[in-house]
Amino acid sequence: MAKRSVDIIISGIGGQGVVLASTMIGSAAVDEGLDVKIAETHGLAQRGGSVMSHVRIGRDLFSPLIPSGQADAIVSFEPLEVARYVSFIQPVSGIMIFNTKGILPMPVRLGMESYPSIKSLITILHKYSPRIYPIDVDQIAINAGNIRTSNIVMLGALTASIRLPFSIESLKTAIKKGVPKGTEEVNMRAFTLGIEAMKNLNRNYMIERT
Amino acid sequence: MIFVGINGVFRLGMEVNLLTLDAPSQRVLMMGNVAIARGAMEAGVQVATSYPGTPSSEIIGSLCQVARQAGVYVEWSTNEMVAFEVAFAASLAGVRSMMACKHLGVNWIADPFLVSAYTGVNGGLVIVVADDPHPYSSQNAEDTRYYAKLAKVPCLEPSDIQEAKDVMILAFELSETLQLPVMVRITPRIAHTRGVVVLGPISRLRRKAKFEKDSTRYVMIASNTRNRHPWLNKQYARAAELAETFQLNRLGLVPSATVGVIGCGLSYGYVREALHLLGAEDRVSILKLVTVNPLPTQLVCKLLSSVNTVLIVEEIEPVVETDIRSLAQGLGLNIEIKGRLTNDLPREFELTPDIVTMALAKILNTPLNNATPNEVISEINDLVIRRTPFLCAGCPHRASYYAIKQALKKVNRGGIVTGDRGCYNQGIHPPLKAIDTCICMGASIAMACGFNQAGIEEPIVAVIGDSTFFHAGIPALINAVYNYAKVTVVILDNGWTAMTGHQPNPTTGITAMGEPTKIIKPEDFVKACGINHVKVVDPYNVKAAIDAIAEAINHPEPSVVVCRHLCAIQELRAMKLRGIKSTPYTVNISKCNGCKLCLSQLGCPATALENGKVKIDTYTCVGCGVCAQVCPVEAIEESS
Repeated sequence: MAKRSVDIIISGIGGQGVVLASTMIGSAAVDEGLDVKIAETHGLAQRGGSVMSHVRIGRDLFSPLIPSGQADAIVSFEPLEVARYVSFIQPVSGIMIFNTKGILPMPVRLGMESYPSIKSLITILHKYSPRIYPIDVDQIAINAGNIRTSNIVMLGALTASIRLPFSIESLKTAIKKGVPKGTEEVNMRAFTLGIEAMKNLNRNYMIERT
Repeated sequence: MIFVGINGVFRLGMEVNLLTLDAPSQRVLMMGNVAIARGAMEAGVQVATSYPGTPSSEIIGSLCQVARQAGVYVEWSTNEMVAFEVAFAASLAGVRSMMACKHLGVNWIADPFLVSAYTGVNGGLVIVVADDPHPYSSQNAEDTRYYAKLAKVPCLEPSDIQEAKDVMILAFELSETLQLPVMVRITPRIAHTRGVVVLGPISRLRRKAKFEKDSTRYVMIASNTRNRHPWLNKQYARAAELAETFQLNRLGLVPSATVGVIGCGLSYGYVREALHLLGAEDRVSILKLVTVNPLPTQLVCKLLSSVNTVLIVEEIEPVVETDIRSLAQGLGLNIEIKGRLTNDLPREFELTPDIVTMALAKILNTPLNNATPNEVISEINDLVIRRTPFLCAGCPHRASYYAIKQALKKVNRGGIVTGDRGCYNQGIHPPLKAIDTCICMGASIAMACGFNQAGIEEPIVAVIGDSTFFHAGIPALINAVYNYAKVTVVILDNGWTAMTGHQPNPTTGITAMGEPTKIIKPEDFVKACGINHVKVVDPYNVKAAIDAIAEAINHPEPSVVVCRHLCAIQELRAMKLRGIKSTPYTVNISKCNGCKLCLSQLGCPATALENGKVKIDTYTCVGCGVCAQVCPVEAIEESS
């Protein structure tokens, strides 16, 4: 069975820009004549809940939801939120990119449960696919000039890790259209820094493997 | 003009501009709910009404942003029943009208909706209902298609986002052809999915409203109803005939296939996906069904008579499946019918491509691979902590709940807190755990009455939001006074219908279309209902709120406290507009005795335990100062 689409899960917490990032990918794909489906789950998003979207790009798509084990990538704005949706990742070849900055769920804030270490998280993620890329996205966003650009850093990292079926230029255009007026430049910087961060990680990854 | 931050537009961004974009055949990316609104615009809708409810809110939420410029009248009504009746009357006056709500809203409209099928309609009347199969944000997972059957009106289910737009145009036409209201049923996977939509031309149709009196139709006394019942049955039969040629249904017969699948609405996409995953596309005949009620029997029979086994895939209940069983039995067809009734599909929760793939694999006898070992799945489940939703930092409801709990403690006679529908049902989660019931709109007050009348001697406090109070609370409050129920009602008035994306309501001072309007104060109604003891407090003033609620509980008659403070999100937005910054609070470590009361009593997301003491995240803190009032040693101070 040949894969008909590029499938990406984008996840995070309400307010982190999951829907916006998904829509930017979607707009870029639509602008290049592709079919897109983005299924969002954001029931109580504004109130600290987990938010995720299924982004599917291809031609004549069927289901808006990605079947288990079919996602080419999970892009998560928070470490726990990559683990929550890991069943979607394509075994062995799927890519998991996540922001290492954890946002504590209420039970952890109250001291009722403890937040898992990044190391234990990676150990389990490894059972699905070895292609795991933890990135200190917030720091990169700060370096770009605004911590609020972290979702754009993630988009940059994504474009450097999988082959998207549209040009990077279309994505850049979609980002510029989607961000608040006056912040285009800082967002473009964040996008480029995201690409670089991913390339560096990939280089290290190749070294590790050899 | 776009009112950023209200009507759910935060989620929509500039997508609302697409509603008025007059560019036929342009391809755009649209959320399903916006596509429905666009479809209504292309159909020439003139009146659109709703009461907000996830996952339906963005339909009217997007329409009201462009209403004035497009010459469409849009309103957030006080409740769904009112919304339906407004749209219904507009339809009787000849203009195309629509009403949108979530599945539970249909329970409210049931009364006029079922009668509207007897009177019939004039201008097309379309009711868009968003069901919540999982459910993600609702108190039940009812299948509203049963209401379409009950009312004997057509029900259409679009299979993707393009069809979400297109089906609206067809629904309005169908409604006018049959003179019946038409229901369009969606689920979150249409409502909150963005997809490609090819735009059509926007209708310039603007009919002049005119009500032509006809008491035999519009005065539904029993003698008139008896004449209309046969008419309704005739129209319903005609609806089934029209379904045969409905352009969005599609039958794909594979000549050699022994297995057939009926995919209802969105489920059709899952069926296609599953067959592709199983490599079985050339072995199965498929019927995509958009007219789920009444069924196009001849079209369905074409499929049934060509296969030995048929799987029916639909969201929530076996509505179509039951009809098909009855149809096959009537025709004496020897066919195996599979679906939810035969446990080939689960009876609960929303469908996924995985579920449909597994069901089809079993029927087709095709092996499935790639299953993750169970121990890996349970390892992940152990690791992933649930994110229980919580009230926002600075939410006035948190302060009100704290005050209610403290007041009950002060009165010291136990206490039951009946809750209601809105943001404030997050009060169930730790550490607040402040409510004991939450059933449906308005149930807080009436259930409080019931507990009291049953003989419960503990104080009973009903908690209800401003919008819910106007939606369904007032009759129950009158009941409390009329029937001497000793209850205390706390109205949480934050000035907005916040839960569903900040829609304005009678307490806000603006209409759906952004026009200034009269602010209606709950306490005025409370007094008019005959309540003698009513107090208004600001819950940010913790002591005053506790005292007022305790006093109300001790009052011998039914009593009301209005806890009024603007929704924290709206307050922040308003401050930002005026260039004012809030002053966050910090914990003075030298004074803090580590009792953690601030955290364990309030659970504000701006606070967290760090090395045994509570720390306030100054980025999240909005400076409400409630935790500072809770702190017994005055260790929480405004940061300099």
